[in-house]
Amino acid sequence: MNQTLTVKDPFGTATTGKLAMWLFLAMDAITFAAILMGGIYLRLRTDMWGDAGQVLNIPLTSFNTFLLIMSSFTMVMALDAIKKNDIKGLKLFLSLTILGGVSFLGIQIYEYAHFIIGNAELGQALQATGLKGDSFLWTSGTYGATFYATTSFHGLHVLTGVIYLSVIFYQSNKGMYSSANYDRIEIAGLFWHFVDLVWILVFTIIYLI
Amino acid sequence: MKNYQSKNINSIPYFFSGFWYKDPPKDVSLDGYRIDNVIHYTDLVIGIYFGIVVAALAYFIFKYRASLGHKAEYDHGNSRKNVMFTGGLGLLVFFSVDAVIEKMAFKDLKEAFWNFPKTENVIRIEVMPQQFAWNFCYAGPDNEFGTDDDIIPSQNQMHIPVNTPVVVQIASWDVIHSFYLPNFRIKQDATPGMITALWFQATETGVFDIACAELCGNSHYKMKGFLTVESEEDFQSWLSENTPEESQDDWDDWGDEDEEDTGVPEDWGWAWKEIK
Amino acid sequence: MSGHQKSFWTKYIFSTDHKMIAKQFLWLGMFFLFFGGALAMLIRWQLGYPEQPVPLIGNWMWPGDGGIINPDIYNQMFTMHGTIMIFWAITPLLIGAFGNFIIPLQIGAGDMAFPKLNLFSFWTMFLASLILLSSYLLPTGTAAGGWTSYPPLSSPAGGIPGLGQTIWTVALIFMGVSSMMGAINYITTVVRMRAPGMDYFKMPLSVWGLFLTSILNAVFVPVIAAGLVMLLLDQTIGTEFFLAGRLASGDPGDPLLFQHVFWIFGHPEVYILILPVWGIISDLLSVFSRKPAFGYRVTAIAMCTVTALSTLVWGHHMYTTGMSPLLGKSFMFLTLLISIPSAMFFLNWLGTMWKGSIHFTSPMLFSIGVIWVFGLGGLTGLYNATITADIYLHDTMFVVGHFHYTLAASVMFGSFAAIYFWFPRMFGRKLDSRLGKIHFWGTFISINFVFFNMMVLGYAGHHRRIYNPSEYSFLEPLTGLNEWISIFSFLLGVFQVVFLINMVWSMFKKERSPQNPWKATTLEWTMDYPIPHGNFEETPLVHNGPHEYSRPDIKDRDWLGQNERITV
Ligand code: HEA
Ligand code: HEA
Ligand code: CUA
Ligand SMILES: [Cu+2]
Repeated sequence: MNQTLTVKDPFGTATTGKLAMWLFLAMDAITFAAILMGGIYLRLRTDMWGDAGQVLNIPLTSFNTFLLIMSSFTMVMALDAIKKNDIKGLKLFLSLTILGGVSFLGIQIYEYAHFIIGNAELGQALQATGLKGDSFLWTSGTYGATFYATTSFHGLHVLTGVIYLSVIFYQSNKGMYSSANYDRIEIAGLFWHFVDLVWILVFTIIYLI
Repeated sequence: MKNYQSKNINSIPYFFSGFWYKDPPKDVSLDGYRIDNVIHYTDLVIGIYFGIVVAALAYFIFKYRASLGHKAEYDHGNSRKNVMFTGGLGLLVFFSVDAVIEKMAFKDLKEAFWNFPKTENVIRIEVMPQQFAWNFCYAGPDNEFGTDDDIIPSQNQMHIPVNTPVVVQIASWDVIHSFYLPNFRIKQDATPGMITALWFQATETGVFDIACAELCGNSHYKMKGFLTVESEEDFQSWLSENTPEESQDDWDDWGDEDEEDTGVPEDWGWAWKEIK
Repeated sequence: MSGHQKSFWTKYIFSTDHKMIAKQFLWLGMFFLFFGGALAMLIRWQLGYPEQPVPLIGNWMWPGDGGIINPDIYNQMFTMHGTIMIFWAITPLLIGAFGNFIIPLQIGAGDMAFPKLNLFSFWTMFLASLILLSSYLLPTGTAAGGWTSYPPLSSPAGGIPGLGQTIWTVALIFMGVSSMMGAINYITTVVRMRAPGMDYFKMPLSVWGLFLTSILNAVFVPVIAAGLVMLLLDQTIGTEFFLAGRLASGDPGDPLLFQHVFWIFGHPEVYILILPVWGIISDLLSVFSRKPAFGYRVTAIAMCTVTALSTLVWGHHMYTTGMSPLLGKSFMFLTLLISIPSAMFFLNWLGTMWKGSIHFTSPMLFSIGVIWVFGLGGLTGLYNATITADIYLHDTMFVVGHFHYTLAASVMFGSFAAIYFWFPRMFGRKLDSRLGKIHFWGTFISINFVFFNMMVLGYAGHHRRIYNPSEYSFLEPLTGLNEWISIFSFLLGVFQVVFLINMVWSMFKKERSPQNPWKATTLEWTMDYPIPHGNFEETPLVHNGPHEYSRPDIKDRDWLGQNERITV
């Protein structure tokens, strides 16, 4: 009779850690959704919204988007490598992923610095929106506030991801992972793909439409 | 600070009357009765349902207390009959209470509170609360707001004629306030950056309190205004006393120099927003 | 697991054992319950005896004002009272303490899914508490914008002096992080760690309540977190998300956005607090009526329905903001829908007592008390849900009365019931039942007087958050009643002291409680006290539902444990 005593589990074979990561990502997604929807709400209520094509640097950011997507791709490769017990490949692709994240952050910092220092051209683009001054700051209306809040919150995630992956890299250097034990890499990967996915949303909403 | 006299001895009778009922402020409005009615209907049905619940509770406590020494019945209450019973009662509550008050409320909103008067004979007033006072603006002879002849009486003084619909538009000068007329059973938030509206009609003359119902800072509790309801003639003569020039003098008197740039400017007022 | 040596630090302070963390949350919650309660007493003093010096402590606390509470202090008091009671008293007590204590034990798990995360969750909460309390050290005092903290009032432009409001925001963000960690842990634990045989529909209803609470936490705390971060940016670096009108220096934001964000979270939050109570009460009524919980499945499903509906009704807090008629009507309709599932599990509570064999122990008294106070509190919600009535009642003491009946009375009674019930499991001793009876009757009578009459005040027009109700002529007739309410709330305070004495005294008394003093069927009663780290010596197998009382097929006793099998 005892064999009938099981627990039905709707989440199949996912490990507990993975389940927790999914939950965390769901909550994180809601936070992003709240911020993005707040931005959309504010945008619908004002006519002083910046023209993304004029104010923001879309080509550069598109390149950044490409970088992040590529780093998601290398993350898949890293996981693939460890599944084949290829530690070298794991380390290679992990470092490429980290590199992608770091470059993304670098470009974002460059972009911010450019906005904060400001220039006449930027000032003109802002003026067309009704904003004053030559530099584009978080105090430049709700447009600026929304831009910085959203992108920096995402940037914080990339930073977290970079640190997270560096820890994983350090651990793989110590030989903690093998083809029989790579759950944590998979979990880290989930986070990284999420950060990537959210960026595509942020990019679309803040930069494209 | 005001010295407050405790009413220790007087309060004994309040203990008895207060436990059961306290009159709301006297209703002097055309439509306030609707709100009293829906509240009274809810009182009644809720009283009945709560009475039934309490009666059942008391009966069970008395009848099924363990000290009587009987055994409980092994019943999961999962049978179809049980489920239908609870579900049925749930629906009964919904249709006897919720559906009825909803119908009453929607009807009142449609006929009164959200049905702004369309007739010519309305008094239009703009209200701009600030920390911690009420400012009012009347359109003046040209019937347009935001023009030079707007009439701005002294702060916290609102006058209206009796038996005439009054439409009020509200915006806030600083933080959120709420325009609350207890004797008229209405209130409407004043939020910076947006214009809200309400309307009412007085049926009696007198002076009534205007209260601020939304927390707006340390003097929220005494952000008090006075609504004077008077006859049409008295109202007109009051208006003419408050000629535009004079009201501007009033504004100069108000506030000290430091506050000059933060106070509501002399010529405030916005173009009247049409309500659909 | 339990064998190795533990220092004082790892045993009592940085323990990963869910039972120890539960106790930490318990004491944190008790501390703040009394802190918030003391603030309530001062609020009541001011409302009953406006601008008279506070007896005993007044001259010592506010010498500059001659012992009188001034308006700034008054606003700080109800702000902190509301904030503390909701986020620092009830949340740690019900979710932190009992969530931690009973979820693993009742589902037959050795611990939480992530013991370390659990530890972090507590210490983040602790840090949040320190941050919150630190705001009292500011010369300008703590936050004063109400627990709802609407901007622009709560932003620097709103006129509340000093950093109090900012610190409040930071403390709440930390508190939110702690809640999110808790939610991840609880959900994963319930989904993953149930003992064999423990199907969802065999879980005790307490676990159901806590599980649904965690889901709501997981979904809505992120929303308020986002809102609070935006508020914090407004408060610190000069963004203007929630400023409009004159206070905005440039392009306007929108104060209403914060209200939406706050209530999208805030309404579910009140169910976050009461869902555990509903579950616990459903179980306790069954234990002490010695009868299976009536309509177990219906109750569980009704609770799920309320959870789902609670996400769609936030607008009923904003009827007077000038929302569009269509929106207002939909919010009213959805709000009223909640009364159907509520009525269903409410009736099931009565059904459980029907034909039972009722034992009036302290936890049972408080459970019956919940039926009364939640009945009144829930039913008075209907007035608020009615748009027209709410035009008049919004922001009056009527609303305050409504939510003290649901929050303060129901949730506090639920917490008391839980403490009386599980105290033997937590500390090996039973709380004194004579003191328990005094506590119950004293609390029940005074709490009803206090909160019922708050609604009377509100119907008479008394608006809330006012420092001195004698300012208005239409409130003149209410001074006597206000004073009586205050007298009864002091009485209420005295009876809570009785409870505290009972708790501390019982913890150290010699007489041990038997292992299963209430003859309950659920798994947490199956082991000796103290429960070892790891809980179960071997994983229990679950054969029965949680409420097998008075089964006719067993003769020698009236209950059958969840892990027991009938041997004929
Ligand atoms: C635990 C807390 C809790 C709970 C459970 C509830 C439950 C409900 N609340 Fe309340 N509410 C609050 C806490 C809570 N509330 C707080 C804190 C505020 C104010 C916050 C602030 O502004 O500071 C508030 C404010 C509030 C408002 C806004 C008022 C205003 O600001 O103007 C409204 C409006 O609709 C409302 C409605 C309801 C409704 C319809 C329910 C329903 O869920 C109730 C459902 C229950 C029942 C209907 C009763 C049970 C059924 C019966 C007794 C059965 C009947 C009998 C038979 C079948 C025979 N609440
Ligand atoms: C769970 C939540 C909770 C709880 C348990 C309580 C409990 C109590 N509350 Fe509170 N209350 C809120 C949540 C809660 N409240 C909220 C959210 C608000 C809104 C805040 C806002 O507007 O922003 C509010 C506001 C509020 C007001 C309105 C203030 C105003 O609008 O001006 C009042 C007024 O009477 C009040 C009173 C009380 C009383 C008398 C108790 C009693 O039940 C307290 C019980 C007493 C104790 C636990 C005391 C313990 C004993 C001692 C400390 C010993 C010393 C005392 C003596 C010897 C006498 N509360
Ligand atoms: Cu203005 Cu309260
Ligand atoms: Cu609500």
